[in-house]
Amino acid sequence: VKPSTTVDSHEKLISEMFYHELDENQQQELNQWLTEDPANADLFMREAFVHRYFLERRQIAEQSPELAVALKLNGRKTTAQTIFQFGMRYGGFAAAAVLLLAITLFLQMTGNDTQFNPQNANSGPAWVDQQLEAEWARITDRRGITSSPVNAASNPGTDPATRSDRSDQNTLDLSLGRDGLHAFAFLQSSYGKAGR
Amino acid sequence: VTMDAVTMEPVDVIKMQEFTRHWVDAQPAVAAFINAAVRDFHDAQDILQRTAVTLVQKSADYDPGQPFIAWALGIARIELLRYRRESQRDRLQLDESALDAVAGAAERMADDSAEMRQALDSCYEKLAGKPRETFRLYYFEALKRTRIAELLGISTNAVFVALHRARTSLRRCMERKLGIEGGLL
Repeated sequence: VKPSTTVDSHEKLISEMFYHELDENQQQELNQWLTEDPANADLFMREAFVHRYFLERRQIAEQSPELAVALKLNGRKTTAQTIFQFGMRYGGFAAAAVLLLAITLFLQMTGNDTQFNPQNANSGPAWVDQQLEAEWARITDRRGITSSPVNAASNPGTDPATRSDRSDQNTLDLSLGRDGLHAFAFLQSSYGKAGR
Repeated sequence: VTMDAVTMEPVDVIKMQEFTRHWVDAQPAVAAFINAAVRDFHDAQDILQRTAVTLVQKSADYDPGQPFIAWALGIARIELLRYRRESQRDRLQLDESALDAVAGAAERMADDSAEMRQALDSCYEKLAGKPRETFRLYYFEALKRTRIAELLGISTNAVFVALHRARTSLRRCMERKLGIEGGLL
């Protein structure tokens, strides 16, 4: 096994690993370099983080056509990106994807884009709660359900609107509330393939 | 899990919400750790999902006094080794010692993942020229390197070099924004 040379050579080795496949000598070299110094493993993980982050952005289009449409519509592009970035800050990729999907569905269901603008999207979780509460009120009015999204998220077994056997999955997503978005994001990351 | 959620007691729901918050925080670092060890993105996604399912199944074993990220990375490591045993499609390129070193790095990095994502968004906006176009075609359009080479009229090796430069440039930009010097967080 060759001794370690420069950081730059290992940056190239990392690229080989991501875009090709390492041969046995390269694997040995990389493994040795990673265990030599924690700083090497730190550098490697940051490279892996960058690689993963941008692969995930591709996943948006692959896993959620609604998200891809929202991102590609010129009129909403900035808005969608704003929501998505807010979601990423708030709860990671899955939460961001669910949040953007929820807002997109909300807009589709209401057919009224004027209720929504990037300024509001920057106002934080309270704004999201407000939108979800409004959507919840609309759903409960239609279905004659009385509990709030917070109650429904805390005790899903008591509320028919949050039961998993309902056929209207989009409404379920919108009625979960902020904690429910976390839970749904988790379920989506756990069972994403099964759900597609 | 969905069926169980319907019949959960309130105290279990609260625990599940706490558990979910932990996972949402830990997921980016765990995902990056898995992607560091497995080249194929879809295989990495499978392992990530298996890790998430195992975490739920073993949630009663989690000690809240210990860092969640370390526990989650330990489960992910087990799932990676299981994957290596079961699959011949894309064998792990890291041995167990290297995997341990990388898991340690993922744990050190976990608290900074939100800032790292924000920095990357900003850094990507500054990426220009052929590296940006190559990067976009590979990561966002999911084109193979040979197709990118055809589109841009360059060799496949030049595509590799452009991808390498773009990704390294993004990583260095992110490090500058986060004040990371000498390769240490």
